[in-house]
Amino acid sequence: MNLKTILLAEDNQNDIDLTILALSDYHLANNIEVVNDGVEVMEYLRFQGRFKGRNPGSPAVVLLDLKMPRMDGIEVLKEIKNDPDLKHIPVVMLTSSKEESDLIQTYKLGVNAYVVKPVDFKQFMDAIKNLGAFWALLNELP
Amino acid sequence: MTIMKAKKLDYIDFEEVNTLLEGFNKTTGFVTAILDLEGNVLSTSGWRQICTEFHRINPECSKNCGISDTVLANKLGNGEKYHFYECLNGMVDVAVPIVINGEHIANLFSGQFFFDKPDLEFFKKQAKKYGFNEKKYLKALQLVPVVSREKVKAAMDFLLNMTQLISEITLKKLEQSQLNEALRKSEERSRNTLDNMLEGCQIIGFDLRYIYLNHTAEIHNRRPNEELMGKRFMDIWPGIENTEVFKSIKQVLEKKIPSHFENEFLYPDGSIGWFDLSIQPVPEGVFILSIDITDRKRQQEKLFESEFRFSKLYENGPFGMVMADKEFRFKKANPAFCLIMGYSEAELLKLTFKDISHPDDVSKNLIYIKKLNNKEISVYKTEKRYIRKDGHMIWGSLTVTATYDSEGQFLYNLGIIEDITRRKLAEEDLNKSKKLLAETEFIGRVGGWEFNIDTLEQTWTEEVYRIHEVDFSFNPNVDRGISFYSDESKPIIDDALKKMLKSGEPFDVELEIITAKGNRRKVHSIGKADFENRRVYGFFQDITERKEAEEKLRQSEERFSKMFNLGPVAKVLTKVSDRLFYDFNEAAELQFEINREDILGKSVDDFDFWLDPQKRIIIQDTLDKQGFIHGFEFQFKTAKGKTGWARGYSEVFEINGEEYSLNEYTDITEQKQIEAKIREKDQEFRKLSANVPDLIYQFTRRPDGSYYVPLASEGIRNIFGCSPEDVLNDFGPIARVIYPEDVERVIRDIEYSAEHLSYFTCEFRVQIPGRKIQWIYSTSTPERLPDGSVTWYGFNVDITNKKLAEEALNENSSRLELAMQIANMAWWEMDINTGNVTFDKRKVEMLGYSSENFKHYNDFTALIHPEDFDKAINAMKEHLGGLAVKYEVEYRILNSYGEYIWFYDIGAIVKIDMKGAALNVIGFVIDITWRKQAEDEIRLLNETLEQRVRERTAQLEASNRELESFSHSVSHDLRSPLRHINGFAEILSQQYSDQLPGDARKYLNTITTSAKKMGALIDDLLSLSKTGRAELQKALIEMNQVVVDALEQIKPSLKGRNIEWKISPLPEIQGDYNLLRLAWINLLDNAIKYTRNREDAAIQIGYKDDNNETIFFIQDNGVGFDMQYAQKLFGVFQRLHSSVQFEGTGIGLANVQRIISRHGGRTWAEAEIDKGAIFYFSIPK
Repeated sequence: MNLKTILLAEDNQNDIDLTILALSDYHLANNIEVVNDGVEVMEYLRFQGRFKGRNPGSPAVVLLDLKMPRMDGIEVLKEIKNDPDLKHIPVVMLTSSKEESDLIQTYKLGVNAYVVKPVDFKQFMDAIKNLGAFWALLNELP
Repeated sequence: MTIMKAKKLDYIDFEEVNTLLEGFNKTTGFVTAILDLEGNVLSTSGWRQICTEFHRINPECSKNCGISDTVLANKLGNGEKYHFYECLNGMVDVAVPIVINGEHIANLFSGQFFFDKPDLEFFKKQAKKYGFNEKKYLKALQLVPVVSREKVKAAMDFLLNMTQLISEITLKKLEQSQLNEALRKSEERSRNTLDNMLEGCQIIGFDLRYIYLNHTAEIHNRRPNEELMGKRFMDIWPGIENTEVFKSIKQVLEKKIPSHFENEFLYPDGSIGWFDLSIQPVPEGVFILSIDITDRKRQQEKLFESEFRFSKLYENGPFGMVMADKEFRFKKANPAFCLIMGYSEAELLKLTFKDISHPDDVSKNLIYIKKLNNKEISVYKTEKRYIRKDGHMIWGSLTVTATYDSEGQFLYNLGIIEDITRRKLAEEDLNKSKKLLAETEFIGRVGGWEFNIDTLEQTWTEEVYRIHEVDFSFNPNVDRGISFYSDESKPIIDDALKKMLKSGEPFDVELEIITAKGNRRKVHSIGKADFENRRVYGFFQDITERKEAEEKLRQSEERFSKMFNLGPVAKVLTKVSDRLFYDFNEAAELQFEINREDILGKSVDDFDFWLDPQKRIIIQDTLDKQGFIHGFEFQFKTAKGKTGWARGYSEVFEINGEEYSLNEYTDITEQKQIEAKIREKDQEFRKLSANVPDLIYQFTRRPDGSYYVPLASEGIRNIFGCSPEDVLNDFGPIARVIYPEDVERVIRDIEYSAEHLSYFTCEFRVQIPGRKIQWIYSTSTPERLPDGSVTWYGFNVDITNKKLAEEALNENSSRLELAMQIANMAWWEMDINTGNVTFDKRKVEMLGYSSENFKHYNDFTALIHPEDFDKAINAMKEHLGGLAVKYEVEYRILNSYGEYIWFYDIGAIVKIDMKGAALNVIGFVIDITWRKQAEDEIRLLNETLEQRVRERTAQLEASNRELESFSHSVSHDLRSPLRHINGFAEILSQQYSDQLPGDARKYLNTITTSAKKMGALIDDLLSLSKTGRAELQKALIEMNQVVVDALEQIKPSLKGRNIEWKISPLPEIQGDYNLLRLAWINLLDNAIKYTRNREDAAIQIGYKDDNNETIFFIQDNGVGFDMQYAQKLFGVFQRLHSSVQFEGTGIGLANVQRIISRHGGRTWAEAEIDKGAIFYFSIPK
């Protein structure tokens, strides 16, 4: 099976570790590309900066943290969904908060899923695994 | 201490001790020494050469010796019997303590020997060290004996015993010396005492010579001691051999038995002294102690004499004597007293003076007793009454003396009583008759006199003095007596006296005297001669008052007779007893046409003037019964047969015990004829006035003040509810119906009118039983009638309706006035033609002016603010010109303080003339300054309101934004670390669980749980903060749907639970769907959570319809809670169960309450422990 890349945008190393840990159960860990802020997400997607020479192809899904330095999740989402070349890429918003205003805004901007990172580790793992499985394994892009 | 010790050491005889110790040294070879505790050598014997020539010579070495001595001494100080010690110079020493009377005072040392053979090497070194000649030193060493320990001990025991012996001897010496000292001191003291004793002390030896005499003895002997000392007793006192004293002394000297007696001592000069003598045997001879008792003896003698005298008087004297204590209880009574009082002594001792005193005299005595007890007096005398045992009263003369002993202590009160009853009775009789005479004289104004015919010296009784108005110092004689008579009387009395002295003819004259004070008095003097006793005596009486009375009577009779005879009224006097005419005046002669002479002495039955004799008899009976009869009228006939009417007044009175009847007859014939005519006229008047509803009346006041209504129209029935006849003679029927409060006023007005003959007018109320109160208006004109009566003609009208209208009007206008006053309003009225105004004075008061200056419309308009002037004038013009329905304007007007205040002025035309032109405008003004100011403020506020709202909104928005971003970051930034804690802990426990010890896994678990709990807490807090901030989005929502949606949300918690749900159909309400759903979630969560322990959990949801709110409730059958804590339920973080029992953050219900209160509703709960809970919330309709 040719697994597509999962792009994880996350500035917090702990969360990165936990997410990778979760995804490794589905052996998706090797396909994870980690970036640390919104600017890097865009550079990755647009083959810019240090991602100029990366392997071609879009990631199966972008797991986007809401709060990030330089360019936050919502700005990234807006950019992706406004870019005709990129807007097909599924974006999942990962966030610590349950702020409804964020939820509503991200859905308005066309997010594909919105996941509140639960404090409960098991729930967190389950959520990430499901996400990974769904988007990376099952969801074939049209 | 040391002094004592030193002293004790003094008692040791060291010479003897030294001898002894030297002997010991020679026999045993032991050297000894006695040292005191400071180390001073007191005795030595046979000291070793090595010590005396070497050790104690070398300064350094000798230090060792000193150390040895003190060390040994200290050891002994600790109580050891004896002690061995190796000295620093290599020798053995021994010491024994010397203890005297338990006190360690010195030590006996021995030693300077060896127990074993000495170590030569040591001593050789010693010699070198201290520079001793070694040869000599070692030689001296050889002289030091080597003694066995047993031998040393035996020697020491001996020494011990010996020192003991020394000690005991010393002690004895010591004690002896102390004893001797004490003895000496004691003797000294005794001698001192004896010398200074107050008693006489003498010692006489066996040879009867004086050995000792003290100072007092010198006084007692009345001879200097030097004269006596060494002399023989009997040589000094010649003749003493035969006395008691001498015999006693001899006897004590011989038999050594002490003797004690009182003795009278005859001095050589013949004077006597009394002494109390104690004679004691003493080693030297006899000791005589003498106390001078001469004074005491003399006192005793005096007392004895006095007592003796007293007792004689007491037992046999004529006076009653008693001894009594301070309270006057009898302690002793003599036979005379018993006899006076009739009690035995035994009986008296149970009584006090009160028991035998006359009750009226007790208090007087108490005053004396008090003074006596307070020592203010020591004796008192009184005369008082006693009651004997047999009940008879007797008089006693009492003398009481308080008796004290020589120290001033009260002993007893001595009372001496003499029976003075007979004297007292005699005095009383005399007083009585004196008093009687004086009283009689005084009452009768009569006195007596007498004079001696030879001396002409006169004696007057008191009253005679008084009649003459001279005081009792006046010394009367015949000439002086005569000199008082007036000029007219003098010759008469002179003559009468002369006649009497000549022929013994008594006289009895009534004459006049001029008193010393110049008053004329009529006197009645009677005189009689008593030649046998050469005296003239008589009686003298003041008869002035009697004479005056006689004169008055005469005048009164004259007056009466004049009164009787004169005047127009017929007066007839008859005697009651025989009914004969007694007097008849001129008017009666005229009236009855008969001469006085013809009728006097005739019987009334013979001359009967009465037309109707029956009526006379009735009148006569009444007169006899009540003594008078007034105002009767009768028809009479004259002696000549003429008839007429008369009004009579008869009265019975007494003259000198004879009853007379005085009859007065007034001729009223003419009056009667007039009255008849009047009655005719009355009839006419009645006919005329019968149909007038008002009352036409004649009202009369009699001279005696009574009223009657001789004439009244039928209208009286309407006005006073009575008939004209009812009031013909009697005002009563009218007086009774006049309203009680008005009666006084009506009478006052009538009386005023009667007095001043002024027009009478009065309004008053009448209340006839069964009718409403009527107001009556009465008016009439008075006139005085010849007989003094006053009569009024007038009429009464019922003015009730008018009064009611008036009252109503008054009430209305006073209400209006009050209302205007409260509203600070004032009315005004303007005459349009003239512009003159009348107004409520409040109008100018409101402005602070006085009303005089305001008469015209222009006076007011002149004060109007220039800016408002035209507006005000035009408003009036428009209304007057018919352009405006009313005059209405608001303007500013200047008040007296120079401020403009606001008037609201409104008015309208109220009077129009025949042609339709306006005449009057009436209106009112209100001070609306306050309202205007309020309006200004409101306008100002309104103008700035929007701006302020904008500012406030901006502020609120800003703070809301801040809050939002704060909670946003809280939710992110707090949750992330929690998740990490939880995550890594989980990984640790999962992936490394086999490498972790049990405890570590448990801790990891705790970390995870806590982190989760904190996560929940953050979520709930955020939710709470959101519900507070979120804008309420109200819409009509179905509550059932909300509940269903909420249930959907909490589905996970229903897993594994068996709950019986009962959800009633719920109404639609206005509310925020999301918030209410959140509320229900919390409530449901709560109910589910707390029914967790129930097998058959049941949750019911329903509602109640209240007046203006809908009350929803959710009831469970869970664990419930204690209602005591109900008010805590809805507070943030307030929990009623521990999180071990039931997890939770304590925020859920707080959130519910916040949501409900944002809807304007209330939240509350009811519960009971283990019986479930009901939570209510209300939403307003």
